[in-house]
Amino acid sequence: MSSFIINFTNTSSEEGTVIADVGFLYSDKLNSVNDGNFVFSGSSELKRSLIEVGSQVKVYKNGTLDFHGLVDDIQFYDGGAMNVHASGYEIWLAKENGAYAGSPWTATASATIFSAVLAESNYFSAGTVNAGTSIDFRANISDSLLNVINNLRKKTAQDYQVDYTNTEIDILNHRGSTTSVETINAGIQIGDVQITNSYPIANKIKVYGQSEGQTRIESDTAQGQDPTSQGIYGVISYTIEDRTITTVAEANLLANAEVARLKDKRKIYAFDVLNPNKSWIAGDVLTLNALSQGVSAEEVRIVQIKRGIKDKREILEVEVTNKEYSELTKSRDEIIAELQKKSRDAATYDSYQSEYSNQNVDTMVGGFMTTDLTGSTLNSVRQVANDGAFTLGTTRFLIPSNGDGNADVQIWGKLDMYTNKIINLATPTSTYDAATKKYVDDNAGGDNLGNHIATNDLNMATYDIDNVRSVLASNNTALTIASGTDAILYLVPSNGTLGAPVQCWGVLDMYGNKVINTGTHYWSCPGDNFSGMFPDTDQIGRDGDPGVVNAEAVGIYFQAPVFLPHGAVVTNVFVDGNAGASAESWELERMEIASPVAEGMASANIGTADATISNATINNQTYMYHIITSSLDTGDKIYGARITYTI
Amino acid sequence: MVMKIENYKSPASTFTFPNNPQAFDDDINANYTTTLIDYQRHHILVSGGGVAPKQIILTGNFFGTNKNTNYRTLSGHFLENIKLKKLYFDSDRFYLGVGKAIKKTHSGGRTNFLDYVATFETIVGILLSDTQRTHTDGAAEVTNAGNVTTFIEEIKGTVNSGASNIVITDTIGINQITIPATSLTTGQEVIVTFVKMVDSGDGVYVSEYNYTTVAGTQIKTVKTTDGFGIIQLGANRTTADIGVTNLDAGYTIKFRDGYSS
Repeated sequence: MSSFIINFTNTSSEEGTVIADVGFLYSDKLNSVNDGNFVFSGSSELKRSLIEVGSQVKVYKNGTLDFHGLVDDIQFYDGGAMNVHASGYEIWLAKENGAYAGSPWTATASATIFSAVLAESNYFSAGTVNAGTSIDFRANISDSLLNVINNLRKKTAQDYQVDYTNTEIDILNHRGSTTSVETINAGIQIGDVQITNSYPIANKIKVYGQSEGQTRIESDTAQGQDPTSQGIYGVISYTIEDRTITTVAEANLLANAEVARLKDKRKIYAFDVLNPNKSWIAGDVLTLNALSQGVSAEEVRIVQIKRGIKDKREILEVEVTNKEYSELTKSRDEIIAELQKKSRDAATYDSYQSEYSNQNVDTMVGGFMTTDLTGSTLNSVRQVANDGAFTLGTTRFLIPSNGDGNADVQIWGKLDMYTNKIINLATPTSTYDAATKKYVDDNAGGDNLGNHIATNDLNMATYDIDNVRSVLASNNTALTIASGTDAILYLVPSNGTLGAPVQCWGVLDMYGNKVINTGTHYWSCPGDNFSGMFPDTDQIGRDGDPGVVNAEAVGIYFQAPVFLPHGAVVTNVFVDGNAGASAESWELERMEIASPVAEGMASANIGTADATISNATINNQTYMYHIITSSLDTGDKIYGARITYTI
Repeated sequence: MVMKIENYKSPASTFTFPNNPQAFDDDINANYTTTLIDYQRHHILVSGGGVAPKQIILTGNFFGTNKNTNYRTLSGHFLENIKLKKLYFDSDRFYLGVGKAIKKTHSGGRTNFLDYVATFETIVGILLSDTQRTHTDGAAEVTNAGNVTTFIEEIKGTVNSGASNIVITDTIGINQITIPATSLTTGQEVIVTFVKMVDSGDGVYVSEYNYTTVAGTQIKTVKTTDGFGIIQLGANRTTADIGVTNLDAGYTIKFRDGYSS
């Protein structure tokens, strides 16, 4: 026997215990609002004031809050007798309407939508929210939070669960255990087993969404079908009208979820649980054995549990169905409420006029507007199509969204004036203000970009300044470049080609500076330039080939002076001669003018070049330069010498 | 042993039977339910260990010159079912309840006798001692000397702090009641009464358990916070089993020993 505590809290927040002596029952339903009923044979005037419409009732079973309800119906009788009905506290979700600012959601995780919807409740918050699926979904401000939750969870094939202790709503892929929590046997744990087997409700489901005619949203033909069931039971069509559905994907989702639920035989089981001390919850799966009814080891799912005291004994009533169906048999009130909701939905979504006035979500208007929209605000208009679609009446005002004449009107794109003027502009004051003609005339001095004084740098980016006749200098620093180690002034040919000539039509006054980086230059001299150095002999022939010098005796050393520009950098030296001379060598030397001591710079055999140069930079201030040879023998010839240098 | 009937609360208006009823039925019915399982040889028994309400049937007669007066007095007690009655079966033990029915029968040849059959219904199925025991906090603990669990009739004390709840618990169950701080002011007198007949508003009286007054005025906010909420004391157990918070030292606990017969 469980211990039950029933506490009522009236609308003045006074809480006290009242014993429901005749009996009470409260339910735990799968995906439906719970309820409870409490019967009193009598009550004192004072205690009775705890129980009024709007009172909260909490039922603790063995110390744990098992039901939390809101009293919505009381029947009073003589002697303070009462019959009190309470809906589960989650009924507040059916009374609350959200703003649904995020609606319509497109390709959004259902968990995100559930959390956003639950965040709008003042009575419950989101508890555990399973991931679900990505979905297009639309909620209307005429929908209660509970309607939205139920609508969405049907499409995601999920369950909701009320957590009274933490006042949270959980969204679960499967409420209760997905595997059997207990095996129950007729005649042992349960009695009076009745099983109703019915034909499947549907194995071909068509879902129709919003709008009408050609613009109507409907599920694809291939969706919402179960060929296996159709093969067994024949095609059983079923149509679902849900005008909150705005996309085909959303319609397909619902069609497939519903056909999975409705394609099998519907089985509803009713039985008495003999021992009420069970901790089952709605959604749990049980294994049922009832051999007399032809049921053996069949897994069923609890869709409703009722607990309480009835006929002076504790009872546990359980309603179960086949696992796939998992839907509670609706009461008369629930059917009426559902019909009312469908009627309201139809009225809301079918009527364009009320649609505009009652919702803040995207809509599809399947024809021309034939009457004016007045008296309200069109928020977040993304696009007005057609060239002539957006015109202004005679008043011609574009008014800021806040209605303030001093506020800005923003244009998120280019303003194409279509060859028309912008008139009545104010005088510009800020950097990005548009300028009036008057402002330009006044400030440009009336000529074509003349007589301007720059107050900042002129950055030409990659563009040219063409046809510059002269750059007038008010001082010597008129054409300068910024300082720094990389500061270089380039004179680039007009065609931009490296190596093309840059013409200077006048004296190039270097103002005492060098001209450098002029490229590769060559200095050469004929053999004639060589004279005998040692021994002092006249046995040197210059009467052979022109410019060639030759030795007419053995052991004759030659030398030739070298004259290069100051600052030149020698990169290669070559002295050529005949084959006989190739056995001899040459050497480029420098000598201090003030102290003529030879210092080698490059050397090789005659006929061979040397590119490895010591002290390569010519310094005519300090040094003088020459080429000498080793001793040439009779018949050896020197054709000439060549020095390559840069400057 | 002389049987009598009187009011639970004063004035007692005692009626002593001039001659005891010749017969009375005093069944002890355990408080459980049995669920029959169809076509089986076993059944489900659900029991909380309690005792069902008793219907005690008295069969007797009055005779002599006062026979009508006696019947009138007795039937008056039975009709006055807006008050709880004590029906004494023994000189110091009584049942608590109300009269349910009484009828007089006229038998041929017994003109000097007035035969009657009366039915008395108890609200607790145990006999209570005529002697009310009182334990004062701080003094020696007091024992339920009876043979069954009895009920605490009254707890009375002064609120120690108006900022805290008063919580009363026993070790049977465990039962616990709470009087919220919002209904309390420091220094006020609090009386928790086991049961009282209370007007429903139009002269119809109902029994109300844990009837509680603060500074002489009934409050409605006392609530059960554990178990069944009726404070009890086991047989041969002492008042040390009763826990009380937020009453000044010196509070009192009153009860009567409980008997099964």
